[in-house]
Amino acid sequence: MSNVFRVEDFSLNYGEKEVLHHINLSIAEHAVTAFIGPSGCGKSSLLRAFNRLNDLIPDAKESGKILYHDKPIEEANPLELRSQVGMLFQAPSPFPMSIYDNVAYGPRCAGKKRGKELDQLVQESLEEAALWDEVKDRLKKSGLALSGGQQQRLCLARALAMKPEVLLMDEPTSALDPLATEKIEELVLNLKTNYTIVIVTHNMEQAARISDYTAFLYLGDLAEFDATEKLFKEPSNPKTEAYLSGRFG
Amino acid sequence: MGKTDLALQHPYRIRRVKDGFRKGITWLSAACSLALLTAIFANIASGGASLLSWDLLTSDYASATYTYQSGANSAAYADPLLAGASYSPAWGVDFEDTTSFTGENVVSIVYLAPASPISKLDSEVKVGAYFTKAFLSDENGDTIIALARDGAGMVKNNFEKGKSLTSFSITTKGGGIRGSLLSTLLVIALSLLLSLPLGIGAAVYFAYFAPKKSRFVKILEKMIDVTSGIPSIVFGLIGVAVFIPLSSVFTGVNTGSLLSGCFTLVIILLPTIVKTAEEALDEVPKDYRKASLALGASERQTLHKIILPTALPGLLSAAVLAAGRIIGESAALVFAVGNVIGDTVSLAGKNDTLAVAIWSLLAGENPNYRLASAIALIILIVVSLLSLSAKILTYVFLKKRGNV
Repeated sequence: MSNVFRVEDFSLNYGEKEVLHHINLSIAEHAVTAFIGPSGCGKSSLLRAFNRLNDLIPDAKESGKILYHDKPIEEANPLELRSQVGMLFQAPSPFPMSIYDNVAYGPRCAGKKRGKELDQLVQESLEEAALWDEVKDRLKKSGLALSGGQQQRLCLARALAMKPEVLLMDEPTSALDPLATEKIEELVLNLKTNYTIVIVTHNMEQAARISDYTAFLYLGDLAEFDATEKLFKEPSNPKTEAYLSGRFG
Repeated sequence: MGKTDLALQHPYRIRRVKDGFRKGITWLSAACSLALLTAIFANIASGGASLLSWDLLTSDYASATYTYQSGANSAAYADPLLAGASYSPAWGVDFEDTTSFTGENVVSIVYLAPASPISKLDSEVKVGAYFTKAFLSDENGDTIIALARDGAGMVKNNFEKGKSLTSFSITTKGGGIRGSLLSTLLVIALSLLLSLPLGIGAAVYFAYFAPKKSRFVKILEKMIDVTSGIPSIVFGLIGVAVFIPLSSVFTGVNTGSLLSGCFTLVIILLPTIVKTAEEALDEVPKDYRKASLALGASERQTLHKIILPTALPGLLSAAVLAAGRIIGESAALVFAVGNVIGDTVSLAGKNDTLAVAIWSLLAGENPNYRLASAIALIILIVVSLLSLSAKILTYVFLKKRGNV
């Protein structure tokens, strides 16, 4: 299996404070990679580095390299990179417009599709996010009128409409109830046949349930990175063992 | 221990009394402010409502006097039997004592028999015009002078005595505020057109692109705060010093004009627009920008498709606030334009806005409270209409986006 991303000696500073130290890891294609670790360990910062969303933070400074298909991402056009690498956030954030317009937003901005083709794309994306049956009769209604879980799936459909290769998910279920969480997890497992998924989660059980690889970050260091089964069963780092057994977190 | 026992315990009773007291104060303040506002509104309405008419809004302020020559008359014309009027059947003209918009006692022509010689004098001689004076001669050839200041009854008697009309003078109604109203609307339109794009652009810069920690930006923001507190008369001086010469480049007129007034207003409005627009933009969740950029949209697309439309209700209320400020502004405009109540509406010309018209009406030797109150009432109505239309626009827009 080939790697989509390769992170080489990557460090990240917010002003004076270094939040990630010399990270090395690879993201495997068509697999789910989970980042776990206690709050403030830098897992979300690392995730945002993949689509260069850290560019929005004025005093963020990166060093080292992240390669996307062997090309450094700082040389890529961020707009193009982000249309290849979609993202789902912690709080569902549908735009205050209709469900249809939400899903069509990305393709419209990219100037790609219109008319019948766009209708088709919107339907496909909503079906892929398992939301089509629930909203097909009210596509013109506001996306804000949906429930929390539906809103998060709408955001997923919105990202999928860009036909990305990678999906970054930043604690996508932490604002959702258990039923909605289960739905998203199911979706993640289905989507990995076509997409490469990187998910940050606070929930160790969730990482164990849905991921193929797990990275454990601790205070800005990559403490351990391995196949999920191995990392959970026989962690090689005592810190990992301590975290997984709930001795801190 | 049951609930009721708890409620009767000492600390709870004190708290209840305190709460009641606080609530009472809140109610009292609300009632006081409401009473004050109602009193102001009632005062304006009672003073101006009687004068308020379509005629006032559409007629000119200036009046003209016309004099016509005529000949003998020997017919009689049917009385329209208008209450309170004095009818001269011989001349077919009905007079009535009334008060003009400008507050003078005048004799108004309330009816003209279609076939009467007076109605044939000229098209200006019509119902609604004010009679001023006439020279007639009686059967002996002696001259009779009918004067408006003698009152409608006397005028009618003089006309009845006269067998032949030598001269007949009227003045047009005058006192209308068509010019001031149109000037106000013109000034609102042009000032908003100039200041809204500038102000919203600056607000977008401050809300999204300005480096938050930069000392320069902080000083700039402080300066905007300070400018919004400067009395407008100071800006009036700037209007005289800077904008009158500047606008003369466009108008070719060296004195104050509506254009120099608009420029001055733009400066007065900018700080308020920047502040309110910035607040409106700050209310847009920051997640929207992140989510939009994460979808591969550019900053410009994010701004135009997500942020500005989401902030639109707030931006519209900024515009309404600005329009209210324009309507209410008088001090600066007295300097930058002048206080001429006129009927020609042009950017190069001097003309009062409604607020300056109130000032002019009250500043003279014979303050005309009635007309001033009527204009104040019109201002209230215009402001209400503006804010109503902003509400409707917002509703229509949200409906289109599926958000109602």
